[in-house]
Amino acid sequence: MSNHDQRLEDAFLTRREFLSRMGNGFAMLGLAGVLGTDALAATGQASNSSSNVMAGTPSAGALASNPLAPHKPHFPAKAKRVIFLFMNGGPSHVDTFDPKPSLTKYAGKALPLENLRTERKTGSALASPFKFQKYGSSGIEVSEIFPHVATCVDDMAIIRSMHADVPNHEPSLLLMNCGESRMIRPSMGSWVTYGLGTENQNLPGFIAMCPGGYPIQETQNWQSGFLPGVLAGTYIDPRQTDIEKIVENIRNHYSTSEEQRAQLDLVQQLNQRHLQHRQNDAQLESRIQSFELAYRMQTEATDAFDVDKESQATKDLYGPGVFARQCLIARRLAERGVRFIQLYHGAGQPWDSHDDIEPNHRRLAGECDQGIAALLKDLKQRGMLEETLVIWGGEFGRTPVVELPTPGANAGKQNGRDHNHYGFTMWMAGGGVKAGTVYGATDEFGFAAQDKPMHVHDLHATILHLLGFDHTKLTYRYAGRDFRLTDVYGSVVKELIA
Amino acid sequence: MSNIPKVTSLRLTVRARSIFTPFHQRGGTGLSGLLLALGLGLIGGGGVMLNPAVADTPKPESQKVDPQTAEFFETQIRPVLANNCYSCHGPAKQKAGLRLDSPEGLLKGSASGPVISGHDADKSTLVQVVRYNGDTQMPPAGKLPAKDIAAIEAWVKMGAPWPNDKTADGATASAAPASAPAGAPAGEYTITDQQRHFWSFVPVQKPVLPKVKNTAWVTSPLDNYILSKLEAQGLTPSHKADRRTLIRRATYDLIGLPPTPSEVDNFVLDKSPDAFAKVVDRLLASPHYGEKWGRHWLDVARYADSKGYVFEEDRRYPHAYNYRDWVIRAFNQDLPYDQFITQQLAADHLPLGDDRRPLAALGFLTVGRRFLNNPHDIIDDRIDVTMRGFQGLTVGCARCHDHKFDPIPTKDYYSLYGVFANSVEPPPQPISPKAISEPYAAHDKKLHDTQNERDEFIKAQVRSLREREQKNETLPNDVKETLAKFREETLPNGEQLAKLMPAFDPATQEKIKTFDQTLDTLRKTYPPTPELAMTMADTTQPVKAFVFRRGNPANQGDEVPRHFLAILSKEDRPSWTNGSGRLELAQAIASKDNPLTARVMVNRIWLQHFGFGLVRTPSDFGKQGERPSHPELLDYLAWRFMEDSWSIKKLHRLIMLSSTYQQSSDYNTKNFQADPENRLLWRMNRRRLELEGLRDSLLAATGHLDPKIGGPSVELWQAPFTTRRTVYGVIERQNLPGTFRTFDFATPDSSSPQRFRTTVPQQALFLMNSPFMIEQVRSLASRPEVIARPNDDSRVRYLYYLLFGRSPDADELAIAHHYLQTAAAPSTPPEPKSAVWHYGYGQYDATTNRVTSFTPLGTFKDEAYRGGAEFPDPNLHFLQLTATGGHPGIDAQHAAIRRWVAPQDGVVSIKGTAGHPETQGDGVEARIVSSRSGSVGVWTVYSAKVETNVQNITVQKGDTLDFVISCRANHNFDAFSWSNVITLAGANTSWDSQAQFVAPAGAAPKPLSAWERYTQALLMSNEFIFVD
Repeated sequence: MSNHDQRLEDAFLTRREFLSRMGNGFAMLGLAGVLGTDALAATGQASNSSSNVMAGTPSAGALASNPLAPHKPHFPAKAKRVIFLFMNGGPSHVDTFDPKPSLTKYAGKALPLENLRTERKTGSALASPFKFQKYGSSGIEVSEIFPHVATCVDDMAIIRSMHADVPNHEPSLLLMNCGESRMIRPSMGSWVTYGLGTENQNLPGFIAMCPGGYPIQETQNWQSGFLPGVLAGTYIDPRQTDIEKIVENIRNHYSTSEEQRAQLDLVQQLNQRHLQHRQNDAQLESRIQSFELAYRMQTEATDAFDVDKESQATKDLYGPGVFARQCLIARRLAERGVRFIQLYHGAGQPWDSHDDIEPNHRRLAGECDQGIAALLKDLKQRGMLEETLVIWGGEFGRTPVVELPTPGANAGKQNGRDHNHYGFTMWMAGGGVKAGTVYGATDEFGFAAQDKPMHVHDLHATILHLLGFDHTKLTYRYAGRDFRLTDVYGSVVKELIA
Repeated sequence: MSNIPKVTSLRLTVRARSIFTPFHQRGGTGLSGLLLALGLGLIGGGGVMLNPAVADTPKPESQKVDPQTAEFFETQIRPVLANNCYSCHGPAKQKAGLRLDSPEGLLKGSASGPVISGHDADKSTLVQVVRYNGDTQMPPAGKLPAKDIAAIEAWVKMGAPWPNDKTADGATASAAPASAPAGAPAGEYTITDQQRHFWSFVPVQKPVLPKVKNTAWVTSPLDNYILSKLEAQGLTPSHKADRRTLIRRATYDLIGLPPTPSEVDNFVLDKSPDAFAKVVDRLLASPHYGEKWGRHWLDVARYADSKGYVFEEDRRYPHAYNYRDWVIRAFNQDLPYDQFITQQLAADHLPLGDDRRPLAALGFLTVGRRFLNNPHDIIDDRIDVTMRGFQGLTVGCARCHDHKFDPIPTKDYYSLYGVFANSVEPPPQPISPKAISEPYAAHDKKLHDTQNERDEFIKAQVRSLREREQKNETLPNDVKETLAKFREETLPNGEQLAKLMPAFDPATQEKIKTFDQTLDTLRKTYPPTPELAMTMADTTQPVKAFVFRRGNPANQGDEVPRHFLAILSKEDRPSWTNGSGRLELAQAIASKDNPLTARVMVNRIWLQHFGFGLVRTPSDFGKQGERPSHPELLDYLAWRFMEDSWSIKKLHRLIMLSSTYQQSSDYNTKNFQADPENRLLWRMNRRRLELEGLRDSLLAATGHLDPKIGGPSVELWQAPFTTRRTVYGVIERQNLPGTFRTFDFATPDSSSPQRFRTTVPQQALFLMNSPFMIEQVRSLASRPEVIARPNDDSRVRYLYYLLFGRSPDADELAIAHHYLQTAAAPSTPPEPKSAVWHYGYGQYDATTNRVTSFTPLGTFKDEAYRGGAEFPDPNLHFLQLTATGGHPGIDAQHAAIRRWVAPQDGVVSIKGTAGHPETQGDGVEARIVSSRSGSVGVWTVYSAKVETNVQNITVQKGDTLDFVISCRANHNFDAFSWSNVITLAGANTSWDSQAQFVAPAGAAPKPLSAWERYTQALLMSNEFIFVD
């Protein structure tokens, strides 16, 4: 592929190069670039193959005008979009999707292996207070705290051998979201939106929801880094019902819709006159079209977030609570072509049960269980699950051993678990993943990934593959280097792909 | 070999490394650096990680090692040794005479003998100590993980093979830099002739002026370079832009603002041959010039007013703006660029007179992101901003391995690392003149001294009091109790001191009172505060710098001297000895001998005049960067720049007075087909205003733009909107407001060479609907100059004149006329939705068990509902309601009431939390009252948080639930928080008191008039935002 086409410094000029190569009329392409019709995607593809540019690399020209115009990936793929259910704080795998009967055997006693070093001091084995049961025809075991999600196991691929680098929230969140723990890098949602653009120009391409505030590391979790700012996730507090607090400047308070339409007609009339004397300038045409998009966005975006329009049956399926609400919003956004949707459980690090794991995890699972199951079922019944990749997980898991009291932290309690990056569970559903499977395993007690360990980089590589990208080729040149989500790591786990 | 952990693929090694390395010792880019090397087949690094001693005395154990073994060693042995042993048995310390960072050290063993016993693990001391079996247990901090011990055992059984870092065998074979030719001294990084002759490393020389045919077109030497290339392609330059276009272009280019109508007229009418030169000179002399061009540099300097992510500490940089102001001033004063560099890197080393402001220039280094205070990342950021910013070199690439494309070995990275590792940040330093800073410092000292004196005096008095207590002297009970409340040798707090006072003798009491009066006076009479700046200073004792192998600070390699990059140095490269070497670094960059410094800067200036640089990768002049479109022109400009004593203003003048710059931006079919990208500059590039230009132009159009220069940063996007220029806006790098991102603002995370130019609907939405825009529209539409005109036509003419610098033609007037006629028809505003939440005050009556009065709070100010504009209100005092809580009035009749009106029938439950943060007073009473069933819950909240959950309340549409907060006996200290979510049973519907807190519907904005909408249309037009 030609790196040349993706260079930051000249990203916006190759559009003209591209256009001239195509020999197409500028007016048509100027429009296509903004409208994001298939015309651009198709011509972009043709251009890519004819000029030996890697297919799927968004034409730099598109970055110049509207980086959100849709592009084709490297190869055909089932997954068209992603919904990432982020259980921030680190859910305990041995209490949710990775049953460990041996922990009961050793409960209260030291494990026969040495406790791996985690953030805080840990002690003897802590059996899961929850019962596991087999579900579905796959017979996959799930904890009693996820009774609704359990009914969907036949649609899920459970990865029990995830591992990350360190047992601390900040770097692990960044690693999971951006593929790098400390330096500023674009988030996965930005990379995916960079690679695919988005299908609905009337909505942001990448939306991050977190009720009540930000997770740890705040907006860095959905940052665009050195990619254009418009590829950053748009943050939404799903508790909000006021559309203006969801999408900035979306509501016109100062004139009626008809008045604004007439006003925009005037603007466009003036712009057309301006354009007559300034032929063949794609940037002028793009801007003309952007006003039309903005006008339509006002109604479409309002509509997308209005869950009151759902039937009572659907509302009942999702159940009460803010997590259910954001799941329902996510489905509406997915339906409307938003490319990457990320839902956080809540502000801060809700799943961080250093103590009282029993009541805390039961409560947390209870808050999201029905909504998640409803989302999977709803997507499925609408025929959308096949092309929507749903991902569930946190930045790491929790220790199978009890966390020992730390002065000022646990209130002397010994009934919780510390962070554990050595082994944890995530699951995926839809989007072409192999349904009803379990991949990999932790050791007998759930401390470390043992069978087929899968690093976060491997997860990223696999996600990009499911979306049609060779993760080593979705790159962006910045500061003298071609960067990618997986840096220099990552292997696609083919066994997870249907 | 059967016990050796199988290392069959990268997959396994990745896992092994990341799982088993103690995380807390894995600083820097350890992991990524190591894996980077593995993943790429160990590219680079080879040159720098050599220990010359190894090369001289090769031992049998350190010879040929197969790649798998080498990989095993690098992933499972070396990191374990590095992380656990090197600190005591490495380059710095050799406890018990043992060194474990080289095969020789290992072989030599410790003072008590060898640590490896052939291939026998059990007999080897090294294995014994890590097993923690005997008396000696290593590492002392804690036993290694079992896997690491197993790995060491396996390794010893193999004979403790130590891959020779530099032979062509084994895994490090491919590590030899491509640039190291055969025969080069082992371990030496060699720069080839080809690399030395790369275009950007060749010294700048005045190039020969090319000959051109159309000599009449040439008005400046730079035109020769442009025209000769055009002529070579058979192209012709465009005609000269008309005067209105030219002055608009020049004014935006130099000061980032539109020309005033009279400036346009004066220029159009000025028949003198140097009319345009006069315009350029006037603009260059404007104080707004620095605001425009300073901002371009601030992009490069990744300027922000905050540190980025922090856990708990304050994230603001309250003094960062002094750096921003220094940059603006430097441009305005045309500070020669070499001094511009030197001050930003080493102002603390320069002889400064009374004007200490240049110290603020060090903000260039200090205003970067703080990476949770990781020192290696902070230094990396400083190396990056310095080297990409001034040199256009991506030196950061050499942090983990030798640069893959440019001749920058890792050693050179760590030479610079040494400079910044020896540079520390003192507390913010005063930069005001002595007349301000000295009295302040003296006053400050006096206050501190007095405070100390008082504290010591009180401590002594308390001490003697305690002694009296010990001697069983009778002391009043509350004195005894008070003494028990604070530890010995600590100060009593105010309340405690008051209780102790009677126990002191009258003279002591008097003395304490005098102290407190003096302190009070001192605090009230502070002289003006000096401005402070985020500066740097050198460490007192320079520390040595070492290469961090693969970027991992736990894996130290050779010591490196502090000196400049080899590729930019003469053969004989002196080590820097003046402190950290920052001044020497600055001098090496700010040198006419440096081939990059002038080229990089003139390219940045060119870029902002034409929209594109001559080198289109402005911060990468290396091999991966683009080659210049006009190399001779670039050199000519660089040469002239240095000849002109690094004057940036002279460079602007040179460029702007050329025919090249003054071309029209019009389309031309023939030229376009030959050069659609306009690389040869056959016309001027049309450019769209950036965020700053757009916002400042809107403010300028209203006539309200604040011309003030400098000062603390201000919030841009919160009403009431500031009228300051955009360059003065607060930049919070962690959570940059959406408007910045929407309009392609340079990311403040790292040095930004150039901005994106995206076109997205969010930009249009800002102009269509944002409160900021509407405010400017109304303001412009009602400008006195507009209002004063007698009719629509003349008003339209004025707007065209003001906004576009021209008169409207007949068609445009007709369009305006038609629009204003048809759009003026009155419209019906939409029905306001009936609100669910209401805010007021009143009384809960216990006898009727109902809320018997409810008076709405009519004023919404500072995000709170209150009784009136004045606060505290003369009648209602502190009574108010905010999104999260509020304050009740002073009696039961003035309880604060947040009222929810049921929009439908059903059964609801309430989940809430009430809080009272004060420890003083007696708290508040929180009560929920249903209009149907009376009080459903009541709580006393004092210095605590209380859950206010109520289940199963039946409501019918129109019923109210009142959340009543009243004071108790004491009406002071009654600020409270109270958030509630009301959920309707059986439906996915809830109402959140906090999230749904909004300004009153009554404050709905006034609709725009037809004239205002017309005005807005002009401000949204392409003509307004594009500069031809």
